[in-house]
Amino acid sequence: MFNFDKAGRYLIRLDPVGFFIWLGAAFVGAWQFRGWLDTSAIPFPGDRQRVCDTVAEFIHRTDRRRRCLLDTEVQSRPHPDMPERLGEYAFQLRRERRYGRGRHGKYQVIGAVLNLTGAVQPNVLDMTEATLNGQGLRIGVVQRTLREEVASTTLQRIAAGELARCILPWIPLMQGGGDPAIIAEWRRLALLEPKENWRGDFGALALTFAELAKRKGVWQTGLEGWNVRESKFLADWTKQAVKEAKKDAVLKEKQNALVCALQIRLQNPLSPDLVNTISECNDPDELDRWFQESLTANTLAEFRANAEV
Amino acid sequence: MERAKRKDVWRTESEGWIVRESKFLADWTKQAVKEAVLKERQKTLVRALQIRLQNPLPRDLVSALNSCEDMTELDRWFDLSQTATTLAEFRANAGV
Repeated sequence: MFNFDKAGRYLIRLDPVGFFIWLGAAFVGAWQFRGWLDTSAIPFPGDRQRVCDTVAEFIHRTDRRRRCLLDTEVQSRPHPDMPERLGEYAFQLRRERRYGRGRHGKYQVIGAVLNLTGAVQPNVLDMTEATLNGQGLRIGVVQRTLREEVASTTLQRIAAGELARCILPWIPLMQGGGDPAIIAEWRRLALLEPKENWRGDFGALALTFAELAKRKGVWQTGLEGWNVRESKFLADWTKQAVKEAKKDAVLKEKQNALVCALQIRLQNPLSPDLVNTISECNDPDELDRWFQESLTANTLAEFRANAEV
Repeated sequence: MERAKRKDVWRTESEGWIVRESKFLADWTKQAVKEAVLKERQKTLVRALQIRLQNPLPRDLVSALNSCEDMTELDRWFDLSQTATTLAEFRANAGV
């Protein structure tokens, strides 16, 4: 199964510095991106498919002893509990990961959220209590809401070199992102990208997000002829999705071929118990072996004996 | 164990996390799966002919089978592969 959040995370990872400059240029001025944190061993909240792979590690440019983590979450629809969620992530990261000699350094952890659709959300969770000298927890989340971003201004900033071209695929989600003139300018700028697979990614991701923004038709027209086959995003994603879907489809194909072979050559109709056994077999190698037996057996009894089924 | 328990708690709490799918990408997968099924069907037919009628098969025949993208035609050829008693008979009936 695919979700739009996954496309967003892929895009963030494609050109991290370019993305973080867009998220906060002053932050990137103060902090240097070091890489993505491997969070696979950390028990984050989320369903089984949830992957927290956009936790970036930074080192302070002037005080090299300081490090911070920036966890960027992508939401296809705003979730009202995002500050709580990011707070949970932040504490989990701070507890589970340390840096420096002896792993004593505790990270400064910041949460950021990208709202692909919907309105700006409350991004501060303030649980401080005045009568207790203002003590209590306060969590602020960096927030970017795509529908509040203006497509034309963003394109101008990309054209001026102020923003990286990796921001282009977010354009369909922005204000004015369905305007044909915007799409034409998008196309002009995207074609300046020298890396062929990035150009493919830009097209594939823009079409993906255009669908989310209900602007698919106009973007499909605007990107007609765009070579998305070069997209690494599509290739990687297809590979994974196909691997899962293919397994089922090929299994079914093997089961059907075996049933057909038995029916045509040996007996029609087959007994329901045999059909059941075949359709319940999930081992492709075993099905291949049975298929081979079906082609050489002269009777159904011989097949069943040899196949042990 | 403790970690696994904690994961379950978080999973429960995150129910309702909104996941939306892309039709564009779903269509893309559908196409890729279709290609995988086509390849499996071609492979099955080649294998059936090899086991039942002749091994190795003539190269031109393997090439013709592997370049056929018509699922219905491949089904018809598969049925014929099961009833033919010689490769010549199969080729004549299948017209390949």
